Amino acid sequence: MSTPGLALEAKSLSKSFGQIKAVNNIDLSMSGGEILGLLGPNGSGKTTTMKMILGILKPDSGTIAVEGIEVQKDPVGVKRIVGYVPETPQLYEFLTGLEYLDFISDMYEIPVEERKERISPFLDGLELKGHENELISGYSQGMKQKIALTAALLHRPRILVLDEALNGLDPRSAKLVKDLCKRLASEGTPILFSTHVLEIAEALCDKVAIMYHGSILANGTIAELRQTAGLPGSTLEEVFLKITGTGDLSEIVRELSS
Amino acid sequence: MNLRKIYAIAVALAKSQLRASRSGSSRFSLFRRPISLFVIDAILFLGAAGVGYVFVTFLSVGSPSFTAQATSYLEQAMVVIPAIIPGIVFIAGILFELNTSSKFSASDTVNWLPVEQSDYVLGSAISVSYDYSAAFAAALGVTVIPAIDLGLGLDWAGMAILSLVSLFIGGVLVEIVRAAVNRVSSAFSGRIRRGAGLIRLVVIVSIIVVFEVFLNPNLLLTHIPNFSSSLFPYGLIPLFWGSFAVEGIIKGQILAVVVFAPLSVLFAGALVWVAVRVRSRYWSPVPTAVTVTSSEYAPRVSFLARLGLTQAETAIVRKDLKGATRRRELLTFFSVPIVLVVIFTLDIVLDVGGGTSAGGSTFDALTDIPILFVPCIFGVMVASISFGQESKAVMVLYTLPVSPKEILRAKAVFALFFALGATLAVSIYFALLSGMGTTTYLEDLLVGACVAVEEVCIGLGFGASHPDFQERPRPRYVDPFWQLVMIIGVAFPVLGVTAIPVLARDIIETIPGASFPIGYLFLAAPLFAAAISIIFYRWATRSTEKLMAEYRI
Repeated sequence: MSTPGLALEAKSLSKSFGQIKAVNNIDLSMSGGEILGLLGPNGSGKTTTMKMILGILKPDSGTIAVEGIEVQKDPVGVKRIVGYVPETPQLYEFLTGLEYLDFISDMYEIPVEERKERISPFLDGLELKGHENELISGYSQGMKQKIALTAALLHRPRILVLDEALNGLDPRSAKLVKDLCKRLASEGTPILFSTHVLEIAEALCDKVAIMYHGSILANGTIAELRQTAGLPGSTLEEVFLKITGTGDLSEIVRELSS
Repeated sequence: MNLRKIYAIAVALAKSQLRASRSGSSRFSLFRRPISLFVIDAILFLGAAGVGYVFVTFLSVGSPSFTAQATSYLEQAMVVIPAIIPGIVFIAGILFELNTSSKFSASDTVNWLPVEQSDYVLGSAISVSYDYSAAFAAALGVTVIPAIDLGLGLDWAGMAILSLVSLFIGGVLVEIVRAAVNRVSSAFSGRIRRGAGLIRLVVIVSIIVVFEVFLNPNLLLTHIPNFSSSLFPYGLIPLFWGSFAVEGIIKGQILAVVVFAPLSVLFAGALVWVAVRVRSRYWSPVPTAVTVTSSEYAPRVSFLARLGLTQAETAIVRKDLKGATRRRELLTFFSVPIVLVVIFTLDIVLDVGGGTSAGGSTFDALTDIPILFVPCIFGVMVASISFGQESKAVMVLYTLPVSPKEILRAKAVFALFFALGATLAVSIYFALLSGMGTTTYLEDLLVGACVAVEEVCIGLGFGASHPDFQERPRPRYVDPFWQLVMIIGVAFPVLGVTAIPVLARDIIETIPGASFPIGYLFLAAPLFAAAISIIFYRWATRSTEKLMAEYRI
């Protein structure tokens, strides 16, 4: 049973791969219009959490509800309302960018007469115009990322799940996506956003959850995290390093530079 | 030319091939090291030598005429071996190497390393020859003991050396085609837009068909025994020069040995030169921007929707159809019916394996076989790869609002489109070729279509339950073990049972005055096909639901 008013609610979520506990009994919740940043080093469980939210992975225990729909019971229903950008988009490289977006439009049952007007602004804004009829196999990493972002936004999702979505984007496109996220959030779309780049999280997110070894170590606004870490006035990087216990790198730097 | 670099490249490519082909073994397992191929070859050699030894024991109790006959057969076999080895290596190479994605084949690295093109070509050709040397080892093994026993030991040694040259020739041929096909893949960049995909498809399939047909061991085995009587035209075919040299050794014809043995080596050298030229000129080190169309985007509802498919199913079918014509690694599969048709046609036209009977029924059987065989092989193959060919991009399907049943239906429509299309085309072609009567044609078409449907369902079952989404260094689409079970254990037996009514008709009609009840065929085949199809489609449904329940790739 999900809590009314919450766009996303995950309770006691756990997932193991063999002996490795990828996600360990975490709770997450988001309200409409909120941007929640999921921070953590590589292997901390961010991607696994996002995949469980989307219904791609089955949790070993716990429940997830997206807009009141239980993921385990109706994964297709959840996918219908979520826009997801994976960490490394695996696209159909034998299709052109436009064909891929047309394919995605079919899958989300976007009416034929609306497609062109939905796709065009993305092609223009993300500077894909002129490349839309080329095979994706010839695209750069950044162009593939732009196509994946467009594909996630085309059906006007009610919730966005972006896993390192700014990877490989040029500064202009990254700024555009960040501004777009803010705009969508201001219109009520909740966004779950994972990143390694703490400056992005600081600039974009209303709340931040710090994951480490599959657990959430801290969750709240950046001001609340500073309080938790006992570092008022410090940067998010300092807070992150303090909370994850990976703060003192001077010894490693000395060793590497010697 | 740098021998150390050639060796390093050959070892790296052999490792790349081995480690992609074998799973489940530990990091230090013997089967992950190139030496394992040598061990396998040695076992094959010794096993085949054991067969040869058994043969020799029969010789020892046989009559002198039996021994003379055996000597003649052995000499013929030794002559044939150098000619068929390149064909075997080439066909294996085409099937397994041409599918290799260039980004995973360790072939691009050399573009930015200080390596000469000739070093790479030689290293790669050696690696391919080594990878597919099993037939070579078995052929040498089975002949060695009889050759020694019959006093042909030195002749065998000469044959072994010339076969080794042939093995290398096979590897170099694969290199040439690989570079040529890559050229076709990238040649249209920015130059030709509309129709480029179709031209590429036609060119690649033509290359595959021409090489596979003319290096087909079945055809070579049929014709080589005749060539000793006529140097012309066979003496003009370089692939036969090794065989002419072996024949010269056996018959003591010094001139033939002196001419053809060096010619065979020179031919290998010439092929290396061509391979280096082709690669230097045409190899594209980076993915190229290929523009497919320049027309304005005009989204529309597909005609497939009128067949009752959902929007998602339609989208998957259209996507797979585009992939079938654009993905180089899939083209070898889609060239299969063409290769089979050409081979069967040559068999019929050249009258391989016997003549036509007075009643013409043998000819009927010859045409019936491809009409049933093509839908069997093609149907089961296209359906079985339909899941694995998603490769890593299968992740897209996991993230989209599409149900497993919709995915399976789309895959079934895709496979049926090709299998039934091939059945229709092949049946019309062979009916025209043989002058088959209308009733016989309709019977064959019906049974062929039944075979196509049931084999598609079998393929879907295996494809959904044992898919292989890995891409490096070459995609396999279905777990190789289960692929073998599918083809040998299920597809062929099902074909056999379904074909019984047709073959029974062919046999009965050889009896003068006997006729076969027509209605029987129209009833038996569809009923049997429906039962088989339902069983395997249900299995495919369960397997797809299980597959799509969680992303485990």
